[in-house]
Amino acid sequence: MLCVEHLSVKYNPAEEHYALRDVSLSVQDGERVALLGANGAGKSTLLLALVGILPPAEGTIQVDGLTLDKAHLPEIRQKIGFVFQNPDDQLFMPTVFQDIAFGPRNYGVPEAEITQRTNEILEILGISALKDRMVHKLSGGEKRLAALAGVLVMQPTLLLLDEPTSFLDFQAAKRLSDCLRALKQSCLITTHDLPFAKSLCDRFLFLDHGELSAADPFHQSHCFCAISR
Amino acid sequence: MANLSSAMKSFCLLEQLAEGNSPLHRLHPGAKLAITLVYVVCVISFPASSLSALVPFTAYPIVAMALSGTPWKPLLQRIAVAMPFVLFTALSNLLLNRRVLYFLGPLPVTGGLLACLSIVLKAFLTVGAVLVLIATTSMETLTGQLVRLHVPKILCLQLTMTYRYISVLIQQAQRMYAAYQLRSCGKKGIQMRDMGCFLGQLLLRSFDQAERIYCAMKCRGYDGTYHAECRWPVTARDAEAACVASAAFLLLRVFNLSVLLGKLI
Repeated sequence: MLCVEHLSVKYNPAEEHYALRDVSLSVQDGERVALLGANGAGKSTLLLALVGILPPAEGTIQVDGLTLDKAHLPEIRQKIGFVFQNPDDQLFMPTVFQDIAFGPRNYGVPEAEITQRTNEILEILGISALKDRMVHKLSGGEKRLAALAGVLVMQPTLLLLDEPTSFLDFQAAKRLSDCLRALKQSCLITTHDLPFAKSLCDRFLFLDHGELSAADPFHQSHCFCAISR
Repeated sequence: MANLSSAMKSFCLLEQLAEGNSPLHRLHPGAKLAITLVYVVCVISFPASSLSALVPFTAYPIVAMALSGTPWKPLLQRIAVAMPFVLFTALSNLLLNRRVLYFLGPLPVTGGLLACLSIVLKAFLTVGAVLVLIATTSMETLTGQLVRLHVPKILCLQLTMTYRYISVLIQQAQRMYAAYQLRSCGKKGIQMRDMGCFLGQLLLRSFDQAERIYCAMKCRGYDGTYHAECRWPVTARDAEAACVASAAFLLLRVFNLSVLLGKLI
């Protein structure tokens, strides 16, 4: 599904400092992987690099066998659904329906199919009542689910979620967790919310100062304990 | 803080008004746009001296407000916001054109005075008509209709996003102001020496957010093209209303109703 090999990213090519250094990871079909790490470890940077927003300084990224380059970028962005940390960054259209329809319209999906897909996604996420609501009047939890609907409607095969439980209370986080568990897509989730990650993910990766610090099960449990403490 | 809260309330009010269900709300957005456009063009096409011909045009905003159940007070408040800019232009006419045209009792009426009143009335009417349009049509349908009328899509997207992010910007400013107040030892408002930092931070945060929004748009396939859909069928009633209203405005533009009534009396 997703294969990253020796990925390095620099914010400024002229600088020595790497935001990510020699990161290699893979996510299999249907697998949910949590990406853990301290603030500034490079979690969000990695997600931005995976959708081609930040160009890699070194290394390769492959999604469903397609290498991330200029030619494959539109196709890859259709396969990857990116849910941003702050839903206000993502919900830029006036109503929930319009926002959900934004992505499919860009890819030329017929209007009838957009309506059908939107209704289905809203039904799955249990937010059909929000369809015609103004985005800025939604609560934090509703905004998060509306943002998720906006990427699910594009039928991605991989979901990238950047701190999905930030701004959410326990109830809303649980609701989101249930929604994500019901999805068949692969997920790569950055989070500080360890109970959320434990309840949802099959595997954990740890980023430390831009480097993947542990991949084998022994190190994973060690790092997990260190973060939990 | 009170100002920011009232700005947010006032922003939400127009949206609440647009969700109404009056005959004007049910009218096709294209028809409303056409009526407003013809009205605005007719009003601004009058020469500066023809003040009396503008008087019958005051009926439209009043009738539209009554038909749509739009409260007059908030609309007047919004019109008042535009007035200082208009007054500045209008008052300059008083100084530039002092030629006396006639006397109204002991009062000399100059060309400048007529132009001044004409500019103020035109602004009042046109802003009022546009506000009635916004108060009876949601932004979603309005931009969809603009796209359908082949208004450049980039302008429609700008309009949509500006509208969407006004509330985000106000909320951001509210949060910053609350944080400022909590550490400002009970001083009222933002001190002048802190104003630069406050506005600068707000601007920088807006830039950051704009960048993140653009990333989010790119992730969902945005390539510079705005795709909007307006699926509101035009009925015979909509076309009829647009034609009747537009014809009435054009007739009022050609014939000065005030003068005709004056002759009759």
